[in-house]
Amino acid sequence: MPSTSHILRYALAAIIVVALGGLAGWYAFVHKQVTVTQANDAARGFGTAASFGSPAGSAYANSTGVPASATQANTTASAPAPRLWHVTTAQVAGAAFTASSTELYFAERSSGNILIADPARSLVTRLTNTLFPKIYEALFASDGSVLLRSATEDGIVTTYAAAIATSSVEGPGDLKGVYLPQNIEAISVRSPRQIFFLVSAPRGGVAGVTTDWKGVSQKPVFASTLSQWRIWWLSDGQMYVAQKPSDDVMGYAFSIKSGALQYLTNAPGLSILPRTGSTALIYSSSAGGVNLFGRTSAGSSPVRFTIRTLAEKCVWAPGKDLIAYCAVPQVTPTRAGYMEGWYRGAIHTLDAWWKVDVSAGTVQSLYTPNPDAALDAEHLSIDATGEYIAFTNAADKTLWMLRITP
Amino acid sequence: MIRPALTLLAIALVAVPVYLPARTSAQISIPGAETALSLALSPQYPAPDSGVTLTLQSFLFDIDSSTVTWTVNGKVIAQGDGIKTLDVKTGPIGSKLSVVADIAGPDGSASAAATVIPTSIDLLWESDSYTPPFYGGRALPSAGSRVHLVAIPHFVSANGEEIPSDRIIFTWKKDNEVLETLSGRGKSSATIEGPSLFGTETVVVDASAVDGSIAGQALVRIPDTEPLLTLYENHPLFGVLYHRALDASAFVPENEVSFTAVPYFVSAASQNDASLQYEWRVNQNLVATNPERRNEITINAASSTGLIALINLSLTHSSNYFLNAAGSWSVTFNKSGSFGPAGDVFHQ
Repeated sequence: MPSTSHILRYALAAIIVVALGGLAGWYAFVHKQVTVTQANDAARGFGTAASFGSPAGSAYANSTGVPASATQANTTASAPAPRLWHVTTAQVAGAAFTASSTELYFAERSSGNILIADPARSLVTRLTNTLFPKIYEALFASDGSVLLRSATEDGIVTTYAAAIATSSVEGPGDLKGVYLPQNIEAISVRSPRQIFFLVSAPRGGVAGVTTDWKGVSQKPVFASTLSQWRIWWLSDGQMYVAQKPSDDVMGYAFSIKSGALQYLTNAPGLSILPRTGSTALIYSSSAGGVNLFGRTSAGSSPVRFTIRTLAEKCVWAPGKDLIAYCAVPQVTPTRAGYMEGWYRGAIHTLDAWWKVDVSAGTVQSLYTPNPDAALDAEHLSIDATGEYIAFTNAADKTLWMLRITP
Repeated sequence: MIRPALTLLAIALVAVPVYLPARTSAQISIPGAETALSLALSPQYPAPDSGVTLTLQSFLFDIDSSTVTWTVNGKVIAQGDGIKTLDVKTGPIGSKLSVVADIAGPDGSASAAATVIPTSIDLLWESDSYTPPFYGGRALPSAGSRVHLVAIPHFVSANGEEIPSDRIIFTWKKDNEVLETLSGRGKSSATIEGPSLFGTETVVVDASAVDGSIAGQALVRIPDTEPLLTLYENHPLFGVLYHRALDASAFVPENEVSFTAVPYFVSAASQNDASLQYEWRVNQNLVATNPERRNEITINAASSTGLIALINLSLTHSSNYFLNAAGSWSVTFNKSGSFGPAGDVFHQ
């Protein structure tokens, strides 16, 4: 018959075994949870080097885990960029060339950070590290000052007018500025640092004002009971407004002179591209098919070009000659509602590049990208020498640069 | 000229100018003879730089057997027996054509005159239906939405000055019914109810200078548009990826994704307008959403055996029973591990 001490020993041994088993199980459970947590954290970018503090890098790269080298040119590159340069695979909110070089400012959509790309050296350098996530639109002045536009969850549009703060230390600096009024419907930049914007009026419609980069010295220049306009304030001071386009819906464009609207043109699905320094105009109509027109002056008869694209997929070249470059869908959009589909992100095109001579009324093929690139160009800009065209790919919002001469 | 050509192509808008009333005189003293000869214009309101046909009409004179002399701005343009019509071309806005037709025949002689002043009215419109911030296109009207219109007349007075809108009387008509409260002097803007479901609203605005010297008319047809329910990925850093609408079958390279539904062209002030009623289903299961963000849903496929979520969304309106939009998307998530069948319950 087992003694009491034996029973106690067995019980103690059993308790120890159970306790050890429990601890082992707990350890296994915790270890698994830690692994899962670490995996989730890694997926969210935890432990990855911060984008700031380095002149290169990308918030996109950090958040996705894609190496920076895959998303950014490094800071030591020196070879000229290829003719068609994928400047960044990160989504960008806007880009514009500097005033007197082929360098290109651009803003990252995920961070609002400003970077500059140099095609002569395939170099991308981060200029700012001030975080502004969810930037839907960025407009630059030629000195790198920028308007960062975002929207709150409630749909309130914010506009931050900022400039890159000068810093005594090397590396990215701060972006400092002021918020302009909320719910700016449309905005245009006139370098250096002048702004023309439309803001919702209390009784409906919009009021158009010009202002400086700090939002002061506001001057009314336009008012309308309609609110859906696009606006331009060109470097020579010309102002234009055009109704937002819709396929097969009549649109009107006007110039603004002394606060009054002067008729410019009208067409269904009208999209316009005015030119600084002249009254030449490129415009397109869209009504179950796209047509592109050009005219050399306000009073001249328009010429219809053989290429079919939207005017907003074109950019005027600098200089005296009335030359423009256009991204033209290789398959002509003919379906009704093409513009709505394009603006909604439901339709994308595969573009090739054409040179347009408005004076001669002729077009010439310029460059056809590899179909793998699948480029649907938007937000085109051209440098002051007419050497490079920068654009974003509407399909993924990445930034590209095309050298015009082979 | 491209302008009239495009106007014809569009058919949506017809801008029409006007002419001064024809004056007639007769050399015989028959009661009513002074109005017995008149000129009719076709089109009634010729546009700038466009063709117009003037036609002599009379209940008293036998024009076919009369000699007709047509004079435009003091210059004889045509002369002969029975020339009833004359084709002329208008000039630009601000120009004037003085046309006189003299007849002489067995019934006597008479003359009629008309002054053709081409004008135009730009009739602009937009809807107050919903489009998201930074949308590049025009808001189109759907059932229940309103339409804002603006008429911009181009009337040039005899002294060459453009007549401002506050010296013009506007008469707005919708489906041939005068909108009294919207019409009047200087009332160049109007807001009306949009077209009914599957309908088209025809809006006409008549404009005339307060002194009656010049007038015009414009017409626009505004069709109803079906709201478009579009689904986007809502990224924590990028925001809503408006540039990439999800196709009916889509792949997202993550295992937890938030989606935002954007109801284009609905009659609402915002995506989360209190009157909008969203009903989400994921793999047939009704899913509750954040009351503050009813147009958003987050799907986590990490702990699901399946990677395909069939998302169904229907949108209705609490008071506008014409609104009934729906969408369906099959979304494949990215996740290392086995691919399971659709139908699993996803975490939301």
